[in-house]
Amino acid sequence: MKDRFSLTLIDMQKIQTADELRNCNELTLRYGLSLTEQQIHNIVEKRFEALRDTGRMEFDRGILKKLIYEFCDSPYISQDNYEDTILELQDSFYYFKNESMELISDDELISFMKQHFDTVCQGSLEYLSGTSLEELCRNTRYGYRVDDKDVYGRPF
Amino acid sequence: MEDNNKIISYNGIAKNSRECFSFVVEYSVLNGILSAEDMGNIQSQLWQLLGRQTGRFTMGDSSSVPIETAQELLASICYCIGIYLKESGIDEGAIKLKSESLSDLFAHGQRVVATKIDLGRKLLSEAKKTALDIDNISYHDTLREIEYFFKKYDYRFFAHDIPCMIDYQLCHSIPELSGIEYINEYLSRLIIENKFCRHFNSSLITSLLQGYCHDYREQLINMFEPVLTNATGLALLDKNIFLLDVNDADRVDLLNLFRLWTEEEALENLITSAEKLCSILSIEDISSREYLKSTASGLMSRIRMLKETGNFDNLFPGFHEQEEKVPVFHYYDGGTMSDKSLRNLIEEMRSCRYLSDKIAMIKQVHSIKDLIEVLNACFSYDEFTELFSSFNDTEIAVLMHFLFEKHSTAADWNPYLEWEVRIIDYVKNLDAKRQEDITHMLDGVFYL
Repeated sequence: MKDRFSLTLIDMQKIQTADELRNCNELTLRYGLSLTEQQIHNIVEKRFEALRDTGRMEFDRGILKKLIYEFCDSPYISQDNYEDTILELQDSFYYFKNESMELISDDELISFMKQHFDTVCQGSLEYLSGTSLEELCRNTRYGYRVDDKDVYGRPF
Repeated sequence: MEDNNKIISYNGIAKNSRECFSFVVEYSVLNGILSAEDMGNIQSQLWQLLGRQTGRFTMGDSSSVPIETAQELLASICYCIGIYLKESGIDEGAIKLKSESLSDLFAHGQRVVATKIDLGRKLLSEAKKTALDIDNISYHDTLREIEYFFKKYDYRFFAHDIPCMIDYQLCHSIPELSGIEYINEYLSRLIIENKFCRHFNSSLITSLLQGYCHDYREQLINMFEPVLTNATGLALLDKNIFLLDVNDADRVDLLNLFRLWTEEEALENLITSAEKLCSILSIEDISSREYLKSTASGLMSRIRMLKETGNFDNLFPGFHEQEEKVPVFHYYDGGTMSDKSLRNLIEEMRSCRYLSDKIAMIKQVHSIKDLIEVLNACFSYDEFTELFSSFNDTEIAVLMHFLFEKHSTAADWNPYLEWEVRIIDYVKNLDAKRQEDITHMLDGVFYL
């Protein structure tokens, strides 16, 4: 009974997240981006996989809505790569949330990701996760703030 | 059958509050108080409550937390609900579980925890007031750590946690409890032990502890147990319990008594002697009386084993016998010579042809620092033996002490000087008696 009930809770979360993603389409359509039902299903499934892989638990609606709202106006995202980018960003988000040892808030991390994705990374997710986010987390562990600058006056 | 045992365990004193919540749920389902639908509702509420607590914990900064943090937050929720249900009793707890929301139960539980924290503070202050004036590191460290506990304990998120180090071992360890319940129970037991021991002279307790465990200051030992054991033994022999000293003859008498009694009689007599202690010491408090009786009856298992060996030395420890005191020598270093006078003396000694003259001149030196300078500069390899033979044992001991002090603090590669090698050889070649005398003195030399 316990397992059956646990499944029900997860299903409820999945339904809520899917609803939210559907609602996001209203905004993202202005930028020529939308998710099909199949894509929504994929993203929701991957959310639970990402959480399991990173050993995290999420309550409420999660961060997908925030991610989509932040990234939908990026010049580097088109309808062709929209789903893949969101999936990749979601994985990176949870991974680096762990790496930063809970020292960075959701909003700070998402805003940092967007700022770097659109500038130094030029839309490259590999660059974002391989350099910018690594540096951010390392600096955070050293006690710098997210908006600190390095010795050359450049933002992290 | 298994369930019945669990109920008995729940009604017992030490049931962990964390498990209490799941136990009441299980009990309610088995007894038909909660339906499957209610169960679903409880789990859903628990999930929402965990979500709210996580939100509060991250202060809205993060929608997700590591699974370990979530587990801790959940354990704290279960602990608070469990502590409230435990206070209500199992049947009423089950009804409350059905009729009240989990957030209400959780809020009630947090209030219970807050009340227990207040109680804990009072217990700590009493424990400190009754603390024994005996130098045991773990005992005093633990009291200090419990003070930190009240500063670090975050009952809103981690009520089940014990954020301090409890090193001192009680006579009866506390099973199953956690959080503030553990601390309060620990302090209550510690106060009982403290109050009992305070009836005895602390210097006698110290002697007893030295006999019980030579390194009683640093070892993680319980100080109450040997005191109670010896007092019980003396009460059995109708002797003065306040002396705490069980000697060899007493141990033989006790052994004979226990050999004479059957196991039931022995147990009964141990409990009676614990009661006798309570009446002699005017201990009225029921929990203290029970604690003493339980400790005294706990001796039975050891007595059963030791009766066979015929040796009660480890059960009723004797007082520590004072070791022969090492004589203390105070060495008063004389004033150092001025640099000029010392240089003149060294030059004069170096130009001196006869060793006997040099030895006579060295008597002008009154400080060890100057003597070392002279030894380094004025004597050759073959002259040292004769020089040292002119020194008495005390002078040799002072020089040897200087040498050991120097090399115990110096780097390993620091070479031995000529005179140092020679004095070590000289002492090695002395007869055994003189060597022993010098070694004996070395332990007691103090520079002033």
